[in-house]
Amino acid sequence: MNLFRLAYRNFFRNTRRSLISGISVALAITAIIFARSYIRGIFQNMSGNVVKLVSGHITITTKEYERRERLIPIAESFELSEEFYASLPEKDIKIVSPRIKFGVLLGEEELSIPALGYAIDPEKERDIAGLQKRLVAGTYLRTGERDAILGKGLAERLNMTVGDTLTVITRTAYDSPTGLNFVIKGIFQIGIGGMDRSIFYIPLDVGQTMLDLEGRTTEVVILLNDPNKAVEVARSIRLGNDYAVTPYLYNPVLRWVNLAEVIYAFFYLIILLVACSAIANTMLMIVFERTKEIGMMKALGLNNLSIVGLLTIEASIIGVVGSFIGTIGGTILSYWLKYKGIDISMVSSTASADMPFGPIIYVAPTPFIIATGFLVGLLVTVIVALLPISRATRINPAKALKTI
Amino acid sequence: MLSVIVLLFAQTGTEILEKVDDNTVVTSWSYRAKMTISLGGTIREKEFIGYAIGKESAYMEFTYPARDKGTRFLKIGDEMWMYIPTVERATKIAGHMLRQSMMGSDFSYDDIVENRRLIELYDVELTGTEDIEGKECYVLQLTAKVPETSYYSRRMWVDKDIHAAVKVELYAKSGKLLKEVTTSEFISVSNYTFPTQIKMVNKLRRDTYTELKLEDVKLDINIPDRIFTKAYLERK
Amino acid sequence: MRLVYIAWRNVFRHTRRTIITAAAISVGLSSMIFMNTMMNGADKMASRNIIDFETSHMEIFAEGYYREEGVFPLDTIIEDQKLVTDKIKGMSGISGMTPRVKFQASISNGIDELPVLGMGVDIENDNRIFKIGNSIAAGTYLQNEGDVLIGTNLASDMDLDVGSYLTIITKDRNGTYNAYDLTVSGIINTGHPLFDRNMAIISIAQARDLLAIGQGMTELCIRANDENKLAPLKEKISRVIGKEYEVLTWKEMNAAIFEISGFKRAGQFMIALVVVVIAAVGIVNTMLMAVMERVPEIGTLKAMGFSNTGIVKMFLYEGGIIGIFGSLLGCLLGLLVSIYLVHVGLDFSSVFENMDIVYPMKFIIKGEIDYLNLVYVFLFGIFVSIGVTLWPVRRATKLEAVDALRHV
Repeated sequence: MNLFRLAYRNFFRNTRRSLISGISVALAITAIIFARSYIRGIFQNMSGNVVKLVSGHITITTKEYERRERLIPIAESFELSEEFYASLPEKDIKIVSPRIKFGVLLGEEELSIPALGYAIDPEKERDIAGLQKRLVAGTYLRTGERDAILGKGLAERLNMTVGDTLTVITRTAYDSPTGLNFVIKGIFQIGIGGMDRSIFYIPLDVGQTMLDLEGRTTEVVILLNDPNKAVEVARSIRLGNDYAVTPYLYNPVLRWVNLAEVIYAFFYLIILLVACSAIANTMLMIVFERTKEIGMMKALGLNNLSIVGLLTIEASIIGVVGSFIGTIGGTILSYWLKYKGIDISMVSSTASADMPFGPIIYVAPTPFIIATGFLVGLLVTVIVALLPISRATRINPAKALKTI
Repeated sequence: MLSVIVLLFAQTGTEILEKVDDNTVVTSWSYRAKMTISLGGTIREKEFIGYAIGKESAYMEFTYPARDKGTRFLKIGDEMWMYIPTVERATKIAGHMLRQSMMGSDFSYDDIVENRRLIELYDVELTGTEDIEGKECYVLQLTAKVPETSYYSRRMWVDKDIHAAVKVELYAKSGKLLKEVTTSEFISVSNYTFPTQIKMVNKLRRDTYTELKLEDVKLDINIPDRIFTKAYLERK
Repeated sequence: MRLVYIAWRNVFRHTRRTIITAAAISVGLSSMIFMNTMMNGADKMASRNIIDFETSHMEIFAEGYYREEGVFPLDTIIEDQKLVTDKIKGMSGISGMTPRVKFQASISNGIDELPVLGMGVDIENDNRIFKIGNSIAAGTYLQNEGDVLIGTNLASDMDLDVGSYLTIITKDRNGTYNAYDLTVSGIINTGHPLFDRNMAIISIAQARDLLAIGQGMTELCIRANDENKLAPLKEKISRVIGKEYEVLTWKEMNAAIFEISGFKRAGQFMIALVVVVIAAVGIVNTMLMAVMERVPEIGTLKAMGFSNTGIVKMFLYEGGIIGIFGSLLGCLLGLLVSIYLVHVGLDFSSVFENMDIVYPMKFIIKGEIDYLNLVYVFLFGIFVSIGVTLWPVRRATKLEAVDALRHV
């Protein structure tokens, strides 16, 4: 008797049971694929934000600037000279964008609200910070104009809106008082509370003039064609000992992201464990419930090997079918949520946390995740079925038949 | 015999200090100033013009370098305002901003705003005499007698002839030396004598000092009141 | 009650099936408990920094002192420590208290001057309430009056080491400059950025002298006996000390933390959802099979005169009993794992291995058991088991006795 054909027919003999088992495998695999993709989505979101808004793929500052960074020492600037640009490898670099960060006190009457200003090149930053996509009111910055865009939280704290005048008073790189009246052109929302409450952007050239840093900058942020080459390209940039060239992976903020990643990987393992136990549970039940049937088969003359083979094939069929359905399900769910995104700001009370992710997580499945999901389902089903299957060999036909 | 006469005519610390105070309060004056600021070895030069009436009102306008040109300050009583040309309106310097340094120099805004006579703030003791660069000086030890003084104690070397301080050491309450001010190039106009060269050295930071040279000093002049107004400060 | 007895016996008739089902339930539940313990532990870590270094459980300020943005005025301080401590000394619920004086200052090493937050602490008492003493990376805690503690980052920024001299400069409450020469007695590594990068810690006696505030303090930090009963304690203290003072709990002073907590809970919720779905699936399908396999039995029972309701009830009891076993097992397992987490924790230090920091941090997340959650999970397991039995049972019992028998 052809075992395969028998297995196939057995599957349909008790379709309901087979389906139930298959479904439990399917659901488990869907969950695994989704969970892994969701977690990956969170990380992409986090590191994405760090890259866009903080570090680019590579950050260049002077070593002194890096050392005294928390004082926001705009005096530690460097010239955006020919030599500087010449030492940057052309082929791997997509965009080179200078940024100047400066601390200010803002306020109508009393200058009492500390805020962080960034002077950025509006056009270059369209592809880096991408603030034009995060505007909730008004319009974007224009080069050469006294435009400012404010984080939503900051605008609220200052009680200002689009069209209002923002008076910025600070010190130049030479410690002289300086300032300008800006027009609030737009209000953005990044979704990361700490940033929305304290950051505003102005055009680079206007900032350079205001801070007495014409032709200079305090940091340069680089976007690469291939982010994976960040470390390699950073090493190839030869600027001399006074500069610090840091690939984003070494950025301290990202270290915390790495930590979170490790923690979440842990949770993924738990999900995997639970999924495996659900599958195990199913397979065990199938085998144990068929004791009489197996007894009958033995009575009819099937040897142990055949029985083991038969049951294993049946388990595999369930595994394949279940995994397949689960994989399709998981893939569809993940890609759909990748397109649509999950808005987690609804789940947390306000969008003012200091976590560097949010508010919309785009689930991020990969072919690898999907393939491993399928394989896990298949393998676990078969492996877990093996124990009870091996015990099936010890079923005494006479005893088994007696249970009718 | 001579020493008895000298003793009879000797002055007390209080008298000396009063004379010093008298010398620093002029009715009205104008000047041009050159300021050299050294911060840890980095040197910057600035120039400004100023008008003042006693210690009550003062107006300053920076003229050099280009980056500072047009920055103005107005002091009336113990309040101070700053005007930055690109901002086009005055900003009041209040609260903890007063403690910040003016234009990056070693003078803080509240150093400048301080307008009371030393005799009102300090108890003074004459501790002896000393020679500074060939000039005989009284050495006065000043100790704060009201709590609101910035520098708890000062040691002053007052030139006997001109009754003006040539050197002052400024101390923190703990006795730690914070700053040292040396003055020279005195001019006498009417019955006032005051320095046209002032150097303030930060004793806690290496290579950090501010030097001020006053030129074209005119005293007892007629300064229109409108100069000490916000409107004038904000004028185009 | 006979039904319960029958149900009980049925459960043990099919021991294997019972065990398998209970096991499925227990894996799901213990995972939920494990995750909850971990998440609580992670939450606690952030809170730990605040409670163990910054504010303890709550602080008493002079009315008007506390403002959101971190300005440290010397004009609204508590004038005399005793005014407050005398009133609440010995109050039940308070396990300890210590005064602190915070002030804006800068420190100079003769070459550079950097702004810092100065903090005067009671050398004898501060370590009973806070953990700064446990975070000494080099040197010792404050011993003499002229000692100062600084963080690792500040030390490296200013090239200072144990034994170095520095000058702390500030203005006292009258606006008079004051400066002291101090010796670095120890370098701290707390993991709390404010402490490691921007703080200079001196004895409170020095601080009071430096600032001319007599016996005053900017705040009194209070450690409670029971971390979960802070609101009533705060009430009690407020009533006793009066309107000129303000009492704030650590949570009130750190609203931002709770927003982060919200995000974490969101993540936890999504994961818990996934776990629940999978676990439920495991249970559903075994219960389904169990019921289906026993259809002939149902026929027999009906023929014997049992009503539909009776049969459904019996199966529900069975489901419930299995659920109880599963829940018990799950909770026990979950609890054991959680206890391990609480005492040993998970070591994530390797994530920080390659960082260029002078004093590397050990990063261990310890768990925190939420017993209430444990109870919820237990009940959840039982309800899911019962719920999941309901559907197939109702379907099965609708069969007529004859039809049922035909399934044999």
